[in-house]
Amino acid sequence: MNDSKALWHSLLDGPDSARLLGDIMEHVARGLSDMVGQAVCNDPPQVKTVHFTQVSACVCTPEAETVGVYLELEHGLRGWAVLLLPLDLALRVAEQVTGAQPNSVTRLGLEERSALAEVGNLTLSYFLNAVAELTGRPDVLLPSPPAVVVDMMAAILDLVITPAAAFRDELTVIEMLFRDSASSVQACFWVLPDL
Amino acid sequence: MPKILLVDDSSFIRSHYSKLLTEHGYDVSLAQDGTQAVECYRLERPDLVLMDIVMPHMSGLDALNAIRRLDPQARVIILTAMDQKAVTGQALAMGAQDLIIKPILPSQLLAKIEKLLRRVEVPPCPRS
Repeated sequence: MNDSKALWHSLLDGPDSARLLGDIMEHVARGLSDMVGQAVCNDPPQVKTVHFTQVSACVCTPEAETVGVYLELEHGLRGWAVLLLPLDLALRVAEQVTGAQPNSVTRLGLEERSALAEVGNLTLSYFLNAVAELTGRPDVLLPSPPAVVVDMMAAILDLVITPAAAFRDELTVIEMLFRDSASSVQACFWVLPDL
Repeated sequence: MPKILLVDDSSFIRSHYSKLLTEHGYDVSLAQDGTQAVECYRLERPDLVLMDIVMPHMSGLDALNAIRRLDPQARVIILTAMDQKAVTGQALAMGAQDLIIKPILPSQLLAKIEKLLRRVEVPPCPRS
C-alpha cells in the first residue's frame, strides 16, 4: 500500500477517524468563514460508499443549476474534490469575495468564476492543511489548479467521478455540508479518495 | 515608484490585488505562471515579487529558485493557501523573505510589502 492510500485509510478507518474528520471539517469551516467574512456552519462530515451509477441519488437536487469547482489532490494525498454551490449562493459568494454590492452580481463573468475558483482552491487547501497538521504529515499535500463548471448538479458529479470510476465500481465519498448561519442554502464539499 | 511583480494563476487575484497596489502607488506587472514570472523578472527587475505556489507550467517554488539564481538579492513574498510547515519551510529555505497565507488581507499585504521594501541591505564591514 502506498503512502497516500495508507493515509486515507488512517483517516477513514482508523480508531479515531470520526474525531479526526470532524476536526478537519472545523478547520475548513473556519477558513471559509474567514474568506467570506461571515460565520459558516457545518454538519458532521459523512463518509459514504456509493456505486458509481448511484452518485446522483446522493444529492437531493440533482437537477439544480450548480457551480462546481473541481480540483485534484495530486501530491502526497491522491484523489479528487469538488465544491458544489447552488447558483444563487455562488452569486452571493462571488459578491462577497470580489467586494461587489449585495445583489449586484446576476451572472458569472470571468472575474466571478475566477473568484469562485479561488474559493474552491482555498477550501481544499484548508482540508489538506488540516490533514497535514492533525496527522503530523511531514511531506507536502498539494491540490491542482481549480476548474469551474456551471451545469446541473448531476452533470457536474458525473464529470467529477469519471476519473475516480475508471478503475472501480464503488466510490468512497467524504461529504461536508456548509450552511450560512442565516440560511438553509447549503454548499457541499466532496472529497473522493483514490483508494 | 517601486515596481512589484504579482504572480498568480487566478485572474481574480491578479486583477483584485493589482488594483489595490496601484491605488497605493506601486507600479505593478503581472504574470500568470512561474515561467512568465521568471521571464518578466529577467526583463523588468522589479523591486519585489509576490508569488503564488500552485500554478500550471512552473510552480511558484521553481520560479522562486530560478529568480534567486538570476538575482540572489531578489525580494520575494510567497502568497499561498498551503499553510503547511513542509511548504512554508521550503519556501523560506529557498530564499523567500516572507509569507502571506491566503485569504490575503489588504492591510497585511501592504504592511509586508512596505516593510520589505524599506529593509536596507547593510554592506559588510571592511576588514581592517
